[in-house]
Amino acid sequence: MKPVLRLLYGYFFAVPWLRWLSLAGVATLVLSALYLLFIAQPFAVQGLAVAGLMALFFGTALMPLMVGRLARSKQAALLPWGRARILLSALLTTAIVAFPLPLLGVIALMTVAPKATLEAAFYGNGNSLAQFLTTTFFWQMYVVCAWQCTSLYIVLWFATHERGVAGMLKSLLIPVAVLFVPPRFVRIDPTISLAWPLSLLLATWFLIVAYLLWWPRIAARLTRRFGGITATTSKGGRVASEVDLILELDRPWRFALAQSVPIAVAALFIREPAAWLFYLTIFGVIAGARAGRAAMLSRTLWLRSDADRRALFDRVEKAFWTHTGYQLAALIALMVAVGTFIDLPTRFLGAGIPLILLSGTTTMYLGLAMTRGIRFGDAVSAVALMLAAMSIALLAAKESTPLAAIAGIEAALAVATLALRALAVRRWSALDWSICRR
Amino acid sequence: MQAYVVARDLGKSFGPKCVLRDLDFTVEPGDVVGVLGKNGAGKTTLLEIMLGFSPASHGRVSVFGQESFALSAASKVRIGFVPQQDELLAPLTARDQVATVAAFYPNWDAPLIERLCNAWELDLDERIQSMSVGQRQKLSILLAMGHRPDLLVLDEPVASLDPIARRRFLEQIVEVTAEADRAVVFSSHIVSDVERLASRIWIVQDGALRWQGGLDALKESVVRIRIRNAGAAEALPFRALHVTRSAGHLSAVVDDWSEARHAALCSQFGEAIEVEPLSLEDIFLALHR
Amino acid sequence: MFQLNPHSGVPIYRQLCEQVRRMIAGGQLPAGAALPSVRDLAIEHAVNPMTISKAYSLLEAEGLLERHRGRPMTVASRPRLQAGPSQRLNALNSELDRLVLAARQLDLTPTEVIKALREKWEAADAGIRRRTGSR
Repeated sequence: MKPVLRLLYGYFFAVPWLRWLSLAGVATLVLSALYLLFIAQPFAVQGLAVAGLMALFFGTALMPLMVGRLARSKQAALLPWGRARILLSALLTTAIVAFPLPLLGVIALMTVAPKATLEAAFYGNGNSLAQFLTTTFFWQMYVVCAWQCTSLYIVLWFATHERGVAGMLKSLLIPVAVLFVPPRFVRIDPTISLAWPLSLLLATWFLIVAYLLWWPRIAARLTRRFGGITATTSKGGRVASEVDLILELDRPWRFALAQSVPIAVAALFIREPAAWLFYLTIFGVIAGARAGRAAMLSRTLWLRSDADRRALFDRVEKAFWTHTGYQLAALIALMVAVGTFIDLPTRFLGAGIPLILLSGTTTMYLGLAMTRGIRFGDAVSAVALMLAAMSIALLAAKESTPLAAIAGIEAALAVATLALRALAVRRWSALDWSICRR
Repeated sequence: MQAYVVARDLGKSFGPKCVLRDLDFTVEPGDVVGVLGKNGAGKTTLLEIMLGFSPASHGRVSVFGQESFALSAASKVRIGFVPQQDELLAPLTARDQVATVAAFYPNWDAPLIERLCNAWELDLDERIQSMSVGQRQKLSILLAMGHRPDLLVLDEPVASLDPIARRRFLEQIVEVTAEADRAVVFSSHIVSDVERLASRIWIVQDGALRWQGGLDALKESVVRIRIRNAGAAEALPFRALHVTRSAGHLSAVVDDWSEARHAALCSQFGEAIEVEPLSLEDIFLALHR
Repeated sequence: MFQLNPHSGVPIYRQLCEQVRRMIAGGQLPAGAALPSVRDLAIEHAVNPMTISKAYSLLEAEGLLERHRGRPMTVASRPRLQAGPSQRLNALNSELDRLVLAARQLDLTPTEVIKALREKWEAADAGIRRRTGSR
């Protein structure tokens, strides 16, 4: 048990920065539990609890990366019970992070919710309401929560570990599932069965275990049979320019096509315009996000060309415009297709197309401005930008918002983009490659 | 005493590509084995199969009497391994990294690590992602030594250490081997280190063991001979590697030198023979030419 | 005390044996003198301890060293093989081989080399006399 506890300590508290986030999360959650128990005002607590959960989750954000690295390392093969203990530590982390939400939920329902409403919704098959809440309801919520945490950790793992189309595709598919599958399973309904969410959770963990433990062997066997799938050079067609190759932008159509898979999957689930706009904005943001690596990759380019730093920026900017352009164009085409397919209002397209274009370009310039690794300020503005884009999406989809207001907000976003471009130009003219490592 | 590692007829292939073949070797307690070979000769694969990271395609290899591919936890506690590329957790500090690994071993020697950190000038409070490659390598070596393994396997441990750190590392390995019943297997391109430390040498060439045995035996059996005023028609009475002739002088490297050979040469060429011993580096180069 | 060169073609244990033999023959290591422990010598030169103990065992078998329980090895009080001039000369063999090789490559005759050797010897003698005289 000692090694597992030590690993848990590592995930929660050993990384500077994140350590304080975890601690703040724990403190906030304890505070909101106390608040619920003694003051009993759930609506004031809601925001606090969500903030605490987010803090705790992001405090352990590097857990997937560490587990992935450890579990697949050669050293783990030689640690006594190494892989089993590492996986157990990952499972326990998820179990711990998933725990506060159902706990707070049960406390909130027990202490504050108007009894009558609950009794009405509750069929009461001989069990008392309290008993139901502390057992079936708690476990329902816990299992769903654990599954959501697991999925989000997987997203984080893909985001921190894999790059390229495959990583992007995988990390995009999961939010769809997280956002739209599980809430069906949490209801205040004594007849609901735990079997579904539980088997979903178990299946997910089975896949994780299989991936970490057996995938390398299966992959080795597959490559043996089918030969390497690596580096198939593009034969014929457009030959990518050196700039694109160095910046890893040589196959824009692959990224553009990759988007269509999760969107097609989502088209089966999502009907509300607000959700669609929200979802597509995320894609727009992601389309621009690859620019975050531009500074690091551009060193080779600088060594090979006679461009000075300012001229280098122009070339890189042009390459990214082409690349992002492909993706955004594909995204808008998909948007129109989806709009016709499920009959969304034209207002949705009118507000949506500029929003997607803007969120893509804004993140692109934000990425280009990140020339010094991901620092605190950059990280905060990136998160703020994403949140802003998403809330604009939700706002724009509301029928009650006047179109002029949306236009105003989008104009503000355009100004922000120009400001970011100016910042990027200034930073690139004094680009220091020794500090733009990740 | 039982041998720590026994390999019989061991082979490994990835698809049609044969990486290792026909390997027979043992590692006894007290051995220090230096593994030499060109890039891509199969050194790393050899060490990895020996420790059971991947299954052998052919033959078998066992460590502490157990099939390598299915080592028990009890055996793993007795093995230390330094991979060629470190597998440290970049976001942690060195201290946390050490503590994480230490928790897995019941017999972790914390004072030893403390002492080595001081001797090797390693700052435990530094975060791994800001360490230099050399510092990370030192830390990897420490992590493999903390539980005092009986079998220590190092895959190019000194490639990026400075001369001072390398010397400290060598001294530490000497201390390890001065204790009874511990064995070390290490691969390195720094032949002089192998020459100092190794009691046995494995030379890996094209996936096979070209030579294995004691270092002294190797040095005594591979020599260069020079024969003055050898006629162009005169040939050596045995097979030799790269014979060169210039201005009536004949020079050759012999890879199975013996007193009998010397006597045979003397009777053929008289006193005109010189036998020059070769350093390990020269031997390595000669075997690869 | 010893000079061990791992890069030379001569195995380290032989270098050590040769040097100990020479120092005993030349009187630098008198009977009863203690030798450094295997471990110390190994760490000092960063060489494998087995190499050192192999050399010591060989010298013990030759009767030059004596092993004691719990104490360092010492030079044998009465070496079983009294080092006669021919044996001592034997110990110089490899050095002579090298000298002959160098001389041949320089195309020198034996007479010239012997003359130069004698001059060196006399100069060294003079040096020793000066040092002992000034003390």
